[in-house]
Amino acid sequence: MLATALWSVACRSGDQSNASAGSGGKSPGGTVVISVSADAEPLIPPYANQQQTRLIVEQLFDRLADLGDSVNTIGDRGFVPHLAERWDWSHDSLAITFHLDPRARWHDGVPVRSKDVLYTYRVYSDTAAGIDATTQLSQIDSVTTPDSLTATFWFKHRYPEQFFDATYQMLICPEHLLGKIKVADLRTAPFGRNPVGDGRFRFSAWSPGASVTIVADTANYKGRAELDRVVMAVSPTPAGAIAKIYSGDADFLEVVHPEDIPEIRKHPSLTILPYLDPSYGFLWFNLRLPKHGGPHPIFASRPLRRALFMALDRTSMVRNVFDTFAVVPHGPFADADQVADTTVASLPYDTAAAGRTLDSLGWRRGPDGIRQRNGKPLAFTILVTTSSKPRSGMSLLAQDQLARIGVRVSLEPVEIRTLATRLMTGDFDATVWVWKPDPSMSDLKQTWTIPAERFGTNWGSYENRAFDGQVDSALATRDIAQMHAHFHQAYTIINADAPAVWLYQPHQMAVAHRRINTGYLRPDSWWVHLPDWYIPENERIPRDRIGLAAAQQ
Amino acid sequence: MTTATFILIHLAPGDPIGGGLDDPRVPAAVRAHWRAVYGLDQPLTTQFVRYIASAARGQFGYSFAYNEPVSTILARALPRSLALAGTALVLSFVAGVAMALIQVARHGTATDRILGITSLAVYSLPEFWLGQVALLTFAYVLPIFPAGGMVDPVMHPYMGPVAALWDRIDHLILPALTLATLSAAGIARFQRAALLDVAADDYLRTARAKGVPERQVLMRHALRNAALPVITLFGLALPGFLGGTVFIEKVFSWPGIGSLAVDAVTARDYPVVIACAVLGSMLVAGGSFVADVLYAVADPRLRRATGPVRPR
Repeated sequence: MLATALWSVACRSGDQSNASAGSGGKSPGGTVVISVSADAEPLIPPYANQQQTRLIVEQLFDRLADLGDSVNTIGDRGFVPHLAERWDWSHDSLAITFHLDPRARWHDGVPVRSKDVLYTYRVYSDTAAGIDATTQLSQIDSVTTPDSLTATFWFKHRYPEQFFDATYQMLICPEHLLGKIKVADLRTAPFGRNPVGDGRFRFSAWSPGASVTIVADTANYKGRAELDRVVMAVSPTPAGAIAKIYSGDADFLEVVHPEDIPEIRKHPSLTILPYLDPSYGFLWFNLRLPKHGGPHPIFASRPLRRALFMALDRTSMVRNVFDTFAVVPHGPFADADQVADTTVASLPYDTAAAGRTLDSLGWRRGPDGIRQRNGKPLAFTILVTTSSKPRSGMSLLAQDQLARIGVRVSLEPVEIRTLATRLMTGDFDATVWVWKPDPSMSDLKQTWTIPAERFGTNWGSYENRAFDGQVDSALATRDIAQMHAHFHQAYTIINADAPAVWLYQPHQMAVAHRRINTGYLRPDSWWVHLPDWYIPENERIPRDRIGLAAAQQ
Repeated sequence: MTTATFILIHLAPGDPIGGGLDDPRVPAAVRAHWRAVYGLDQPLTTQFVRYIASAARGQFGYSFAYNEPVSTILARALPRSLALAGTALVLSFVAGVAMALIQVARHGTATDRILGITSLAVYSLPEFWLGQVALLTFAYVLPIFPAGGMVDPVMHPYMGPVAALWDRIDHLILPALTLATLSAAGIARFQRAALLDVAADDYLRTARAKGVPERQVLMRHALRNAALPVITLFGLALPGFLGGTVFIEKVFSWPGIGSLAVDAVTARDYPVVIACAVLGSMLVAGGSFVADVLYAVADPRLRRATGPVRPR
């Protein structure tokens, strides 16, 4: 708790921004090279799902309004005007009218108008487009455009995240460039390799497999970006990525592994930037029999799941795998989540109680030390992804600790794509998995409720109508206190049911060259303030001094 | 090869439309939509017939992951890999043959033994490990070379022609040397054994008896007669090098065929995987053809249209 609190204070207080930069004057200029693990997908906003693509697309294209640093998604509190300079709610709260900034221009000089908003909504909500965000827009009834600078969103009913859905889910796209392309062909349109946006950065160059360059849009309606240029350089391996940071070939790496920290600290030119991470890792039980769909012979039993939960010393597991760079979560959320509740009760670590529970359920130790009931051993398999050291480590420790109470755990290593497929088809006993929820409060509904078995990611088939009711009530109310009360009840229920063991919430750390002032790294998207990053004039290196004139030749 | 690769990649578990690796929460309807778009909802036999028909027309289909024709992707990646593999090929043969000549010239001495042990040790090193060690050593500890990539991603577009060329060479040296080091060790061992095989032959004894300097005996007489095994190696080396670049390209952020193949297998990008396999087999066939031509160049007896080759 104390570690988490201190971490949060450090992150919020700005320690995570590179405060040591900034001794010189602040004037536009400079180049930042960001090391990314893979090349971007085509830069078409509706299809930007992977992080390395979102990082770029969200610099090139604007939303109507964006989340503020509070990452509040309820109502419009904290939202920051982007393409919409202001907005009005209807008296019945069933419509929101956005008034576009008349100065907004696409990078080809064409003004941004309400027909762009309408076109964007139509694309995002078209099921023929195959866009992930379509389901999130299902509560918007329609969009109308009373005039060229006004767009009104009409909702089917009132709910707390109306504004969030109307703004966060969609990056506005240029109708004059994309409108004539069939929606089904949009994903493969040449636009994706040479996009024209309206953000404070504009697209400059793409060397496939190697790098993407964006440069400041000097005539942008929100003011030009402080940096001249940002280059996303691909380094597929962690060793290659960190070598680029050490050698000065790259300036920023979003995730640093704990084992690299001591070496980074030896470099006076580098600084470590901790930031809040909304992700959490857990040992996930499948409550249904793999492939057959009936109740799982082990995990369908609530008392047995609770016993397994209590048999794991999560604190020592986290310390073993992450040292001090992660803490134990309090439930199916990370502390950085806006609906986190650190007061919710959790099952204790109590191997004696776990053993007694298993005894009472008829699982008795056999001659080999493994518990049996009716001749069947208490045994299951954890699917382990080969690409994640923390998840492999956690699985090994779980295997060891559960063996002490007489549970035989086998580990089955699979590569990530296979693991994802097996989870989606319910073909697993258990796995260590990590969720990184989006900012929406409804993430809990999409992951742990009964409807999410069919339309979401409740692949472990956890079912509790009381939990669903509390989640639905929390998402329906506009009263913040009531909302937190309902979430508290929901967390209490799910923690008692133990459909998973909440194992860890990592503390993320980025590394940056000390000359770069990054400002606040927002938990949901650290890159959101990239246009405001700056490099003091007296600390610039040769690549900072190229200038924009050369880029525009 | 196409058929075998098609079957193998489809037998591998995993779904090409499984959503992003970080976020597999893509709705089932969306996955079904893209499966239909790419024809993955069709029976495997239908997919196979379609693919063979396309391949016969020289088309390798459309990449699921890159949203581009596979031929475009290969055309972009192949020259990059050829540049890396070609440079490494030349370097490794020059170094390997030179090392073998030194060992044979100093046969039985400490130099021979040291070079033999060194080449065996280097030959045994995993490429991936050596690549990372080379990267950290020569890009970080001794910052002589850039830390990966093909060019400086920032400054390259603003360089003059000479500086831009040097930038490319500078980025090429370390991965090419790493790749060449591993192969040179193997080539040296092959070449040394072949040279020692011919060392006691009559024509060399005659040459020495006539007073031909030892260096000339080795270079002009022994080397040419001991070239056939190494020529075989050379013919198979090019596709072998492209295989070797799989790891080296990953470590050094070199966006060639090797990286492409690994990413395609990970993403279950079936058309790209099959195309890479077909390309590899074409290179093996091409390499064998080159080796046959070089045999004839090296050994005049093989140029004769008739008559058996007299065994030595």
